Amino acid sequence: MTDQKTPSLTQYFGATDHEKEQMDFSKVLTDTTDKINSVRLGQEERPTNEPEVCRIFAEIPAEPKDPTANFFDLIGNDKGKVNSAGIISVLDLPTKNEDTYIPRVSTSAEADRRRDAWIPIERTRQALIANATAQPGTYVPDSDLLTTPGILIEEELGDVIGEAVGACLGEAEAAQRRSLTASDVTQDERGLRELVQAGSFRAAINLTGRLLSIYGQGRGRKGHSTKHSPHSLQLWFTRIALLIKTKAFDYAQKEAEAFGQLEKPDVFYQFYPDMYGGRPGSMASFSFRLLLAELPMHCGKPKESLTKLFSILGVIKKMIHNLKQGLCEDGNPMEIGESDRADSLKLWSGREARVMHSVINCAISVKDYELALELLGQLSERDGAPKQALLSALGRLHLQLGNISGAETCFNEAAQLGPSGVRDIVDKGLLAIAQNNFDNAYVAFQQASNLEPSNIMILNNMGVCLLYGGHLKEAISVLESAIANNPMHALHESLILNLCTLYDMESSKGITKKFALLRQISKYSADAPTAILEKLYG
Amino acid sequence: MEAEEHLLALKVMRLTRPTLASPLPVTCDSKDLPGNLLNNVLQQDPTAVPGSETIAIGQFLLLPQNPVNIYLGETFSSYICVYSETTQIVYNITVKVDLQTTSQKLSLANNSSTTKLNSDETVNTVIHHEVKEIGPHILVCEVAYQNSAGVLMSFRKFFKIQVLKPLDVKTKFYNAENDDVYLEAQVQNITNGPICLEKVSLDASHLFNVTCLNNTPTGESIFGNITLLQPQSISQYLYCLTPTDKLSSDLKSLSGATNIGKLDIVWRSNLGEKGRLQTSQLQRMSPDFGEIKLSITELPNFVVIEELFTFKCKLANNGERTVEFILYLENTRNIAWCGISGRKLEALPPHSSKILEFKCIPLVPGLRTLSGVKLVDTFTKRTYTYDELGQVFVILSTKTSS
Repeated sequence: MTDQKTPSLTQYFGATDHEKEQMDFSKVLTDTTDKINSVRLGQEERPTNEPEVCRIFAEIPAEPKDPTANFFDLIGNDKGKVNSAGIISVLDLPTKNEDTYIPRVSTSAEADRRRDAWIPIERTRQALIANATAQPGTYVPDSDLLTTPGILIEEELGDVIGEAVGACLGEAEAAQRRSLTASDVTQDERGLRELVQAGSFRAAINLTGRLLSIYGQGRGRKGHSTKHSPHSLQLWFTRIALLIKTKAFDYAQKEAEAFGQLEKPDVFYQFYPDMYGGRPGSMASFSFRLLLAELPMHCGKPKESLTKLFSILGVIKKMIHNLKQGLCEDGNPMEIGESDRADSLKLWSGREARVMHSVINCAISVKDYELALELLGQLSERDGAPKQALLSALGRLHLQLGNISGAETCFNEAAQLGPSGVRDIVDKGLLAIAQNNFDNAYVAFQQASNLEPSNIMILNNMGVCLLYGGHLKEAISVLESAIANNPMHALHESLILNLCTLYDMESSKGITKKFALLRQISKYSADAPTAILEKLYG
Repeated sequence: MEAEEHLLALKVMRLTRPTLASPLPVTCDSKDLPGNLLNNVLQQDPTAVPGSETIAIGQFLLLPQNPVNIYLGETFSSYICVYSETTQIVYNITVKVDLQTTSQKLSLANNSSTTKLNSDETVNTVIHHEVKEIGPHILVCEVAYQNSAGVLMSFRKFFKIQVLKPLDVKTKFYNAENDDVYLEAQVQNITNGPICLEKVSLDASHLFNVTCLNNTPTGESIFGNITLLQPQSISQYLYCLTPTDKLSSDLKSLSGATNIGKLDIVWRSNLGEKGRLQTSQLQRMSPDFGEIKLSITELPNFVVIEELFTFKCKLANNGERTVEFILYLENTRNIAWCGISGRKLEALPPHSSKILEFKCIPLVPGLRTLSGVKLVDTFTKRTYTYDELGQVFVILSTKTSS
């Protein structure tokens, strides 16, 4: 049933095929059901020529830079949106709240199985067997085998930018601020996505809280037994991901605690045989699992993250081994078709690479450069790896730790694999900085900027070089013009940090300029981490 | 000094290397609730590198946000910005920057005067200085100017800097029998972050030729491609110093040659921040050769039991008179000598040496010490006993199971 996908369909997600896509859609409206299935599959099972590291981004439509682009649709770009509503009805899927999540991801059972495959820990496996073999409704697991989350944030989160504006610029200005709150959108996952898309992360967190209360997992429910569903777990995933995005790590950690490593039986489908038949697998998504493993490193416990990430890596390796041995991911000797097996291997080795990225990030955060170098080296040797991007990253890692000749070797090797646009020019600029030659670095960044005039990172780097060369005013004007030209994206916390540092140097009137910056943020940003806002009143 | 109102003010920022900012990667599958939204946010993040968004090694330069230690041998760089606090025009501004250490005062900048400064202008000075002393340093910035009435005014600002020690270098010397000197140098990173040792080399005194023993026969470093030292970690280097021919022919000056050379160390840390140190002259213990020295020059490592073998020794007369010796060979449990004991040797003039050849038969297998050689000075009657001349490993037979 998954064999419908064809190369032409998977190509729809390439960046340049818009016209063709539109045409095809008008043609195939009659038998959309199968095609949509295939398209959905195609997203996950892209042809091998897509490097693993990029795959996660491959599904992004052609104009991702357009913040108004509609992300909420089946196809992944607005051209397809017209069809999506119709398709859901064609698929004839239930629309109850509990299940609204499923039609959106409508796909074959095989793709579901592949995506959710996981090997439970031994104790959970035993519990799941006991559950399956007991008289229906008679199995009562130990309470420590249950996942009992609850919301811990006492009140709804406020609009921190609005509060900062109120405190610094007066209530009148604060009143002018327009930003979405949880009450401005429909109280469902559609509204949630709307908030996320608008960048109103705190409002989105508030909405997840309201929705989770409906599941009996709201405030004060931590420790109470509850029932999980793919949807409730997705709400939790979204909530914790957004808490991390807004750098509310403490809350993220406390609320995530109940989930452990998602290894308890009640977050597996087998735990609910009457609802999901005998379907095996993890009810929580892989992204959630990874997010939970990464979380400790943001809370000053990188070692804990390393342990958890390596344990995920261990399970994935086992699953890949099982697949190669002719078994299912979880070791079950069930038959899988050849192409399905190939797709499974592709999916899981892609996920393996993603986990390795997280390990690398964790290693870098604790300055364990040996580990980071080793893993980046391994990644770049993998089949179909985006070698050029990885060599470039490896080169920068060498720069960061101070090995200039090693960095140069990597950059040269990357350059030999073909032109990479501005990336290798910027890398050359960084190399010049490591050699303490900020003038040459500036020249390199300027060259890159000629190729991509709107690239914020390059403008920022030019500004930094200007400062080291003794040109403070020019540095400020480069950063200010970067913001003026693209406030939506340039009002990024790192750029703001740089600009504030320069304002502090320039005069005793830095605070006026910082308030102007705050006004801009209030106008263009829906949300911002508190730390950067504090920098602006300081 | 009471607070005085000034038309100008000054700020100083230490220019350590920038860092590379990267996004905090939070990603999801298209089938997760947020769909591609979080991936899009990540992709549009200016600190993300297209093609490796989920790897936190960015290209986005972030100015130093936290104070960073400065270590001996690093370059201290700072940005000094003088700006106007008034709407008036200010004239003839000079900025003088000095660094006061515990022992001396160094001038880092002495800007020729800026004729005039409008209210929104700045005078910018960037200084660089390689720090060569440990301990407290004071950066002294002095600004002099004239106000619109032509009155000369000036003020000074002081910034304290503590220079720390980056490396701990421990050395050990071994004087070998053949007059070679082995130097073992332990370089310990005592900074608070990892460092990359770019160069460790021994600049030997001209009396010795250096062989670096830190490379494999194919020329690669035994430490791998990079020598990365985590805080408190130690890297150990080994050098062999061979006295020049001129030096080894003269035992007296050889014994007096205690200056070995200096270790030259270059390291880098964050984004290529460089440091360089040279140790003071390394001194070895002067070897005490005494008047008479008997040392092995040729000796097999392995010998076969009950088979005759030969070894050679150098007998050197380091004294000021000609000596005559009687050579005695005493059999031990392990070795039977083959030769004449009680034989008188040729006279040995001052500052000369000769090679002696010995023959013996090993009697017991295993690692055995050559002992039982005795020299008696016929004039002073003084006896020199050599009971640990060298060692051989005695094996049972060369015919291994074939």
